[in-house]
Amino acid sequence: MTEPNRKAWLASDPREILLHGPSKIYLDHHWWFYPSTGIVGSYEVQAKDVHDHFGVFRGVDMIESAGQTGVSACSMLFAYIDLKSAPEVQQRFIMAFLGLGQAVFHDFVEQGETLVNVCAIHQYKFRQIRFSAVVYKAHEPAEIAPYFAHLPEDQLGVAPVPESFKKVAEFTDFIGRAINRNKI
Amino acid sequence: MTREEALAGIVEVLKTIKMANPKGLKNITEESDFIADLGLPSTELINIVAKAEDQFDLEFDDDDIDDLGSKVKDTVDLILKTAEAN
Repeated sequence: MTEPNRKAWLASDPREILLHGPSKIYLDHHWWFYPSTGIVGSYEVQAKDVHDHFGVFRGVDMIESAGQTGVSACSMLFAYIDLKSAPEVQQRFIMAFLGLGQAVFHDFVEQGETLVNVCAIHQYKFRQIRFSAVVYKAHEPAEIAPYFAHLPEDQLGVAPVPESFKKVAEFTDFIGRAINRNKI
Repeated sequence: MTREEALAGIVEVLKTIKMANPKGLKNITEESDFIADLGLPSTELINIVAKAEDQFDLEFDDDDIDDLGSKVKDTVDLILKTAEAN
């Protein structure tokens, strides 16, 4: 993947890439991506997301948000690298969430707070991706962009995160795959 | 490459898969099923064929993996087909 392509993709709107309808998208921005290392995305929790749930974002939706960051965005991206055409990718593939190892929650997230999904890719092969995710809530969302804009490829999960980031969850062994629609 | 050589290579690969049922590993044939007989999750098939690529120095096509069944013979067929094409 060329550097211009990587940067163009980072600047793209996840809503144009994900196949989900608007009410089921839990990803606002991509902030960081290296195909063999990881991907980072964020989502600001909306009123609809906490409705009828004590004013807090559901854990299962936190998993979905991290899954969309890693599974959908990454699978789409990798398929896009092969096919060079986003519409063709959307015609040919469905992004499937196949499995999750362990989910541990440390804190809750409320309306208006911003989640940062830091996904470390462990394997991508034959359109199947395996990754783990650490989820933070960013008390100062304005710090997200500059932090990841300057984070080198080898520092994801190594360099300390901004002090305003608070860890809220950790997910291991996410598995997802881009499945050919003709094979379903 | 013969079918026997492909099968032997797959057995070597399976010995490195921690989740494989040890009992199932003892009597692997082409009719063995990775999921039913070795107790592996379907997502692990990708790991097996990825390791088989290394084992046989081959490169499988993504579309071939879409069609891959869960029996050992399916992977044997894939290995032989890819080796022939090279």
